[in-house]
Amino acid sequence: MDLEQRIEILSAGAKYDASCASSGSDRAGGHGANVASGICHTWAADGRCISLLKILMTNACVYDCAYCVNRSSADTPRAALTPDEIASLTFEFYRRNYIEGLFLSSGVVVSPDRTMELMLEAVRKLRQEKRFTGYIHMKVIPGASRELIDQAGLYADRVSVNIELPTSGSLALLAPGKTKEGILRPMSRLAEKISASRDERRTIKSSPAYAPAGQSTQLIVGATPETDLQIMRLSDALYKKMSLKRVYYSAFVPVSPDNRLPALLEPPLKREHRLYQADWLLRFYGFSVDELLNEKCPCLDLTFDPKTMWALNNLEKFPLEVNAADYSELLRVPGIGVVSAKKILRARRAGRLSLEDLGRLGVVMKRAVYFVTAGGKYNGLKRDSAEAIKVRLLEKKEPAAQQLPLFGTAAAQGEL
Amino acid sequence: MGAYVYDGSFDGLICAVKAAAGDPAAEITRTSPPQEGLFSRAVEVEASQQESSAFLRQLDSLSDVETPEKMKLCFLWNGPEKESLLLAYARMAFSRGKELNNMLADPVVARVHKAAAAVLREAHRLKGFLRFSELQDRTLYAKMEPDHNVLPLIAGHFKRRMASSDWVIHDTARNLAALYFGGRLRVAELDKTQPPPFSDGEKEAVGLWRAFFNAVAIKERTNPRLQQGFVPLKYRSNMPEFDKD
Repeated sequence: MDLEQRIEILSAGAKYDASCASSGSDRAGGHGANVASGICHTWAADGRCISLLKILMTNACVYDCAYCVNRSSADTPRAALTPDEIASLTFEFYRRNYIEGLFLSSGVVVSPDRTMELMLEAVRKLRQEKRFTGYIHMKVIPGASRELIDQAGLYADRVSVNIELPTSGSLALLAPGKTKEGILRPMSRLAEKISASRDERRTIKSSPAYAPAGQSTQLIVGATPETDLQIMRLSDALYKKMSLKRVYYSAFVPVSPDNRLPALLEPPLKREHRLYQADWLLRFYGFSVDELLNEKCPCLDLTFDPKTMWALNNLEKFPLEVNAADYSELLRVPGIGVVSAKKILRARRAGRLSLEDLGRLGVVMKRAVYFVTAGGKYNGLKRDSAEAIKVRLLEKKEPAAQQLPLFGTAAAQGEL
Repeated sequence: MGAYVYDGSFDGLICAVKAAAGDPAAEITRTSPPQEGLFSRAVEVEASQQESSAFLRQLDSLSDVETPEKMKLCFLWNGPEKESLLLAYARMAFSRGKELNNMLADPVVARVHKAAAAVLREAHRLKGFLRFSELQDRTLYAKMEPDHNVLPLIAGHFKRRMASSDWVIHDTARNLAALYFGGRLRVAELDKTQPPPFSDGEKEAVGLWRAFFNAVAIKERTNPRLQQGFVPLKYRSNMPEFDKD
C-alpha cells in the first residue's frame, strides 16, 4: 500500500481523538519552536481545528472495544507506519507550516509494551535525528510497563491516556479489554512525574522538562447512560486530583453496529457542546459542578447554555450593577466573558459606564440585558420571570448561535 | 485649515500627527496632495525617525506605553481614515493623560483598540495559514495577500521557528517580502514575480497533506459554515488543502 493510502487509513482511524491543542509549551533551539498560546493551522470540513498531524502508528488492534472504529472484529483495511516514516512525515509537514507538530496514537499491536516501544522509537527519532523542537502529543497505552510510560514525557510536550467511558460499569460492557484501574494507574503515574519535574525545574532550571504541556484525557459522550452530572463530577476530580490540563468530550459517532450500543440517528453534538461550556465554567469562570447540575436536574439544558440556565435559576442575584460588581460577579452574567469582564473593570477606572457603553466593550447585550443595570438603568423585562426571559432569548436567538466555536480550538478562547 | 501630507512611512505619519496635533482643523493625507481649497494649505511633512520616536516617547509619558504600541499596530491596519483616527487619539493623550487607554467605551479609543486587535488577529491567523513550498535549492517560499500589513509582525515568529532554513515570505498585495538567508532577516520590496520551480518532493508533500486533511474530518459532523468562520475564503487560495482539483 502506498504512503498516501496508509495516511488516509491511519488519520481516519485517529480522527475521533478530539485533542488538537498545541499550547502550553515553549521548546525551541532545533528545527521548530512552540508558541505558548498554540496555533491552529487549518480547520477540517467538520469545523474542527487542525494543529497537529493526528495519526495512528497502526490501526491494527488486539482489543475489541465496541465503540471503536479500529476494534479487532471490524472489517476495515489495516495499515501501519514505521517510526522513520512518522518522523520524516512530521518533519516535512512542519517545514511547510502545515502543522505545529505530531499527535501520535496507536492501536495495540502484539502487546501494550511492544506498541509503546515502537511509538517511543518514532518520537525519539523525531527529536534526536531530526532535531525537531516542535510540539508532540503522545498517547500512552494503558497496560504498558512503568519504564516505558516514564519515557513518554521525556520526548512529548503533552501526554494523555483516554479514560474512554465515564464509569467502570460502562468500560466492562463496551471495552472488555480495559479496566478503570488500568487507565487510572498510568494517568496518576504521569501526574506524579509531571509534578516532580515541575518542582525540580523550579530549583534547577536546566533539568529536562517532563511533558511541559501537561496531561489530558478524553471520554465518549452518549454511548452509555451516564448523566452530565456524573461526567462533570469526573472531570472536576480529574482536574483537581490528576492536575489534568484538559478533559475532551467526544460525541459518540456510531462506527459499527453492536447491540450493546445505543441506536443514535446522529452524534449528540449539542450535548457535547454544552459539556464543553460547563467545563469552561469550571475552569475559567469560578463555577462549581453543584451550581450547574444536581441530582434533581442531572442533565445540561440543550436549549440554553449552562451559564444562562444558572442565571435564570438564580434571578434573585440579578440585575447586577456593572459599575459596582466585582470581577467574579461579572463573570457570572450571561453575555459577559473573561475579556469583556476585564474591559469593564478597566473602563470603569476612566468613568461610569452606561448600558450603551457595554456593547463597545464586547458584552453580548442580547443576553446580558436581562441581568445588568448600568447607573441604575435597566432595559430588561419589566416583570421578570425566568420563563419570560427564556421566551425573549429564544426569539432573539440567531441560527448562527446554534454552534459556538468552542470545540477543539488551540487557544482557550471561549466566551460564554 | 491645514492639510498635512506624509510619505506613507510610519515615521512620516507620526511626524504628521505631531505637526497636526495643535491645529484643530487639520487633516492628514498620504502623498497625493489634496484638492487645494480656498483656505487650505498643504504642508509636506518630512519623515524623521528621531522626531517620530521623540513624539512617541512623549505620548508614552503623557499616557502609557500602550499608546505608542497601538499607534504602531494601527499604522499596519488597512482601514478607512486611519490618519484622522490616530490624530484624534494622539490629541486625547494630551487631554486625557493617564486615563486614555482605560477609556474603552470612548468611540475613538475603542476604534483604535479594535483596529490594533484586528491587525494582531490577522497576524496570528497567518502564523497558522501561511504555507511554504520547497524550491529546488530547498529554500521555502510562501505567498500571502493579507488585509493588513502583518509581515513585520510575523517575520520574527518564522525566524524563531525556521532558524536553520532559508525562506521567503512574500506579501504580493504590497510587493513586500521578508527574506531569510544564512541566518539574516531583512524586509525588501519584491515584485509579483513567479517563484523559481519547486523541488521534486514538493508535489508529493502536498499530496500527502491533502490526503491527511481530507481523511481527518469526521463525515457525520460535516459543518462547512463553522469551517468557513475559522478559515475565511480569502485565505484559501494560498492553502493547498483547499485547492480544487
